[in-house]
Amino acid sequence: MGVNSALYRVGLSQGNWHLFAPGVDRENTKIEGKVIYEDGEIVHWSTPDWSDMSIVGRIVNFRHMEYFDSIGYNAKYETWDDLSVYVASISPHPFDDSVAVQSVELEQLVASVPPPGTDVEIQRPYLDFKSHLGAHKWEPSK
Amino acid sequence: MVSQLQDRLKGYWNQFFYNNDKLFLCDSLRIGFAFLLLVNLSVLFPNVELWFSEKGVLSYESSLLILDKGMLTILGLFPESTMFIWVCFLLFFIQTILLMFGFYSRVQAVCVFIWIVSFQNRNMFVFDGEDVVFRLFAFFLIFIPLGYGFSLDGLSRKRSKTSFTQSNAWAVRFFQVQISVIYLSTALLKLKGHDWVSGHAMYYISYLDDLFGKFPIPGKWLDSLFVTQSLSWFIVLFELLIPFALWLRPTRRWAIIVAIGFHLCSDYMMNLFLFHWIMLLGLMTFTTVEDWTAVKKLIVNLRTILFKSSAKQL
Repeated sequence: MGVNSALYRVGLSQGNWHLFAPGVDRENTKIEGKVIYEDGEIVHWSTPDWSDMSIVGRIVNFRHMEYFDSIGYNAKYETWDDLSVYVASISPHPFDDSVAVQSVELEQLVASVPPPGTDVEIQRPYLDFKSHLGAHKWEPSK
Repeated sequence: MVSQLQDRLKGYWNQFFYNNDKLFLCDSLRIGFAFLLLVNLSVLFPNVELWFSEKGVLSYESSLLILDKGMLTILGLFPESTMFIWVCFLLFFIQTILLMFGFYSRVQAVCVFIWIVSFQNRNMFVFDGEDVVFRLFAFFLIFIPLGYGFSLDGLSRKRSKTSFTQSNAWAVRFFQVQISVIYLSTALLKLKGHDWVSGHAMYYISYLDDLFGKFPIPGKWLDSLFVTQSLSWFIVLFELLIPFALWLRPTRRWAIIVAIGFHLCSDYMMNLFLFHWIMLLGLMTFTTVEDWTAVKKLIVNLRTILFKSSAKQL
């Protein structure tokens, strides 16, 4: 058993101190979701707009920011399945509770900050979500 | 010759770890740490089920996929039971309060460390670098003298007229080394990348929607590339020099002042939750009794000047 493995086991691992290193985030991301019910009804869901929040709201929702940031860079489909199940659970059918969920579709959008020196004037924060980073579809097992 | 060298090294070693000039800090560290952890837990409290239970966003089974092998969590004993998760969280909360008040401090410190590891390992997605600092500080806290001043343990010692045992504050050095490692490690990593060397790092950071812009920044000075470049280079330089400046006697006090200013300014601009505050707590371990006496003197002098000027105005 190596030193690293031993440190992990006893809870003393620390890895590298990345703290915006070696490179910084150059993009803002958000996740949009569609909960599709068996009768064709669609309920939309999205990650919160962090820039719209008050200072207190941002502090209180700090863990949410961490979660959506982390899952955005995690490719394991099981973790996306879990998020899909959760999104379905908080997006009830607007009229009829008895209708079952057919599928949940999640899409990750990204706003890449243009490099410095670009002539176009850009706003702070940069929220031009143009590119598509990934998508995930979950269907409940019958 | 060899024995002389050995004696000298032994002297340095003893001077470094056992001179006890940090003894006065130990209970302040305990209280400060427990307070910050309580703030941390209070923010987690409304979302305990969301982050750590099967009703939330990450099942226990999936959480194991993102953990490194061998990482353990008490919450894995009964992952299906939401009640069990709540019991663990409430125990964690209560033991942090008891640590703050210094009631069986060492026992609480051990348990708090185990709780931190357990909750962090249950959902790695919601934790980041600052939580690693919390975890490591909790571990170091186990080994420092606890419960002497400002604590229920201290009171009961006084009542039973038990004499204070001589304790060594050697483990305070762990805090200092850790703080230095954090600064130096991140500075070296930054130098490996392109963004900090080119000076464009702060430009990109200033456009982030989640971490930047905690409090309003007046004017449009961040639009100047010169300003963002200077800020980026200053940060790398600061992180590169500060780990050395904190250890050298002639620069130590100035290094602490600059570091405090750096963390407060960063906390104003960026939303990194408690990262800067736990770093400030760690920085406190570099202070001496003389520093605190100087601070007290400064406050008294300022008060006198202010009092005099307001009396003149009247």
